[in-house]
Amino acid sequence: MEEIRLEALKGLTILAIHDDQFRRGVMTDLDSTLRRYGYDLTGPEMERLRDAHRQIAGMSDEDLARELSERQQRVRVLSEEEGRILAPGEYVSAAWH
Amino acid sequence: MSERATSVFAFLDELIVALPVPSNHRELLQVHFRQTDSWQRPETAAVQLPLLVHEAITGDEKPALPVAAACTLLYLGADLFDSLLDQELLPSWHARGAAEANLAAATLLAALPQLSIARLQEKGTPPAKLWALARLFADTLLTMSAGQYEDLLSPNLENVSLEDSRAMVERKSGSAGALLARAGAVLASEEPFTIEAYAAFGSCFGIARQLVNDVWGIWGEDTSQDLLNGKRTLPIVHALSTLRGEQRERLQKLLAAARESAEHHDEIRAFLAATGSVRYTALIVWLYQQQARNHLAAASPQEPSGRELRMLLDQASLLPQPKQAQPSG
Repeated sequence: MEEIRLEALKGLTILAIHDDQFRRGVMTDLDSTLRRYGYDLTGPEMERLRDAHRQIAGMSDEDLARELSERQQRVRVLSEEEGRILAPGEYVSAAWH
Repeated sequence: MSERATSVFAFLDELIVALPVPSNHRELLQVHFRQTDSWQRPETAAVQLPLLVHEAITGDEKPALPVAAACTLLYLGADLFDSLLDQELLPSWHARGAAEANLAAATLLAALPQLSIARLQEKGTPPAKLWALARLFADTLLTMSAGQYEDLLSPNLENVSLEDSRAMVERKSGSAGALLARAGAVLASEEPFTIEAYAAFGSCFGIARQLVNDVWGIWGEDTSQDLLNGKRTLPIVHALSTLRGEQRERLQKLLAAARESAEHHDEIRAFLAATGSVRYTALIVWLYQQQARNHLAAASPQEPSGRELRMLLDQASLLPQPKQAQPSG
């Protein structure tokens, strides 16, 4: 999927931080809020933004927090597994000296 | 991933063992990283970024090992100071106390990164580049200190705006992320455009990661240390900016009470959820993540390091990860 232009991303970030109306509008009605603020994104850019918006708007705060918690737990379990499997590195002598 | 962390921590061990100090002082300096479980090690940033960025430019990560070690020392020192400030010292420090932890943090942060960078001399790195790296660490530490000071003051401020909160994260964590990427790039390249592209990538990555951590700081455990410490992180500032009248006053009262006990932490979480503060933070994280992606693309990283950097970036998100993480971009 095509990247969104950097200037557009910076502009959206500034509006989302500074503009109360934009902040409220963008969560409830992405397309018309962007039109109202004069954003002219390409089709693929718009599709990328809509995709993220769908994910965010489609979840509750509790869902997002739960998802983060489950992910942190998975990372912890994986790292503990790796810690048991991997021998202490002798990498330094090989890599550096 | 773990192999890199193991290599950097082995380098650090060797660096400290060679220090011309009494053995009990060496032991003090080793406490913070020896007792850290592997899963808590800063594998995804301080260790990884300098090595990956160097490899993305030159095709080889090994020459950047002292730089990655210096970045890791800076991270560990800052982390130890954070733990002291937030009264979250890990158990291995309990017998030693805050004074010893303070001394270790100051040494990890201020002295050891320079000594690690000095190891680059052994490989013929020119003095001008060594000085550039040393100056980079000093500049970053100063900016991080300013952000940390704002963080310290924020619980007692009447009004913190979303911009105040964002700027604080940028100074505290954006500058650290920029250092991790820039340090690897400075060692690898003389090209200003490339160095700045990686630094901008690191800054946006650092901000996105910090915002994810801020959500974790409230929802991660039943008793939120961030709420006990009165932190004004983005989700909280968003809720305060969104609520009006009695509801806002109620949340402010709850935040004050939350500093005394965990009794009201669930109620605060309910307030934040009702205002969509996590969804809002997820949007801001996504925007910074996309900016980082753009900066990385502009730097034209060699593969497979570029793919690994994109995978690291994919983790700095509040949105569900693909079941089988595929490199994106």
